[in-house]
Amino acid sequence: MKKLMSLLGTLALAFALVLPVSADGHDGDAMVRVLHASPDAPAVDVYVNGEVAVEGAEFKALTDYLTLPAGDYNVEIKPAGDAETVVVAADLSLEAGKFYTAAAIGQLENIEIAAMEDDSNFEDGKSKVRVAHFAPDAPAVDVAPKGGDPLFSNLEFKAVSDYGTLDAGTYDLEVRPAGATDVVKALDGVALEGGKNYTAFAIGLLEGEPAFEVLLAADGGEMAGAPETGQGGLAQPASMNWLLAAAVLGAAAAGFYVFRRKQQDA
Amino acid sequence: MAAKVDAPDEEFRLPTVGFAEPLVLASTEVSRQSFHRETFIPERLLIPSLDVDAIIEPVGKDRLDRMDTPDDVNAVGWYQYGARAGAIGNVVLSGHLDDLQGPAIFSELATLQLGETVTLRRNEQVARYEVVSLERYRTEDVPLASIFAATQSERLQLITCAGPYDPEHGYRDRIIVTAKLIRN
Repeated sequence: MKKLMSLLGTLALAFALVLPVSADGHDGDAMVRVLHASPDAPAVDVYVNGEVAVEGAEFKALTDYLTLPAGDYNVEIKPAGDAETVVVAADLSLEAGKFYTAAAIGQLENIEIAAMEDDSNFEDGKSKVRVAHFAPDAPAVDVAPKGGDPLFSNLEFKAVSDYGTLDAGTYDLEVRPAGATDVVKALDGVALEGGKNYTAFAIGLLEGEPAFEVLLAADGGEMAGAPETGQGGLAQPASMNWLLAAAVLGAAAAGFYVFRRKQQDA
Repeated sequence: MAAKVDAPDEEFRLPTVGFAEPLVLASTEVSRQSFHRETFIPERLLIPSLDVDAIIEPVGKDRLDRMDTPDDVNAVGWYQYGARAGAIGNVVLSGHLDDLQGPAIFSELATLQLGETVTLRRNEQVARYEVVSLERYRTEDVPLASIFAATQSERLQLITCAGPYDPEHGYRDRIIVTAKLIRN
């Protein structure tokens, strides 16, 4: 549960799948979102391969997923509106059909990009949940049901837990210093829907502003191609329909004539 | 009937993504979570400005891994892997532009104006949405993650066809109408 999965800088994925691309191309895409979790960093713009992808993201902002063709990308984070200054950059390898979160974490002077893969395989009636510790001045923590044994233990800053599977429902959770029983943050009434996966991002500062808090985000999604929603009836001019009808009638008449001839010949 | 927007005919261009107010876990904020609210599987779609009053059928994906659309061209499909009406996430509806003869349920979708109201119902349960964008894309350029992936926003996405028709490949473009949940 406490396995370190914070892949900093380069997200090296050895087994890049090459998938056939469907008619609409979505099988070849990866899905990426960005979280601003650097407490003292300004609002930022996010550039992907030199092009702006997200504008004006402030601390605590989590973007929607962005579709990108699978491949290697250079991600740069710049102060909002300042295209000249790179705050931090990272190279990401994105596999087709997978979901990722790239988070800018740490205080500005040590800012870095943590990239993680998001689970998009869903289980009916269950919620898969993980915790990401992105609060730079917080100690290692446990996350547990109120007064109970930890679900996630000894997570240090920059650590992202594995997903744990819980029954759908509402939980009273608490964040505690690892191994201790005092409470850093009480999280009452955390509702987890069946068939959804979540990441709880612990962000902010225990001492100072912005204050420590936990964001809950649904992960992944069931992707599909754009639906086929027309049969062409509006695309053909009316006269074309008449021509088509005339042609069909003509063919039917000819067929009937041949049929009659054959009958007569027999 | 033609959409008021053009599908740009250009190379892949990186779309700029938006972001929503995050869900903050604290005792006072949990009521924002979908589990606690009135969410429901929508059964009826009402778009007063277009005189649309349609039955909604749950749909999955077709053989080509595309979102499905009901066989009945006057019904609307609700993507069962997406969000329920009123919930956080994307509620996705597809409807036919036309059938073989003429207009179907979403033939006028491209004439929707920003600010107009779209309503989802199931018996007494109601979720109202306000149209915030209307975009037209080449089918291969539709921003699928904005429509089908998880989001912290509370959105409704209405999809239909547009553009030139090719008997083999169908319509070239798609209209995507995005509406935001109106909170009471």
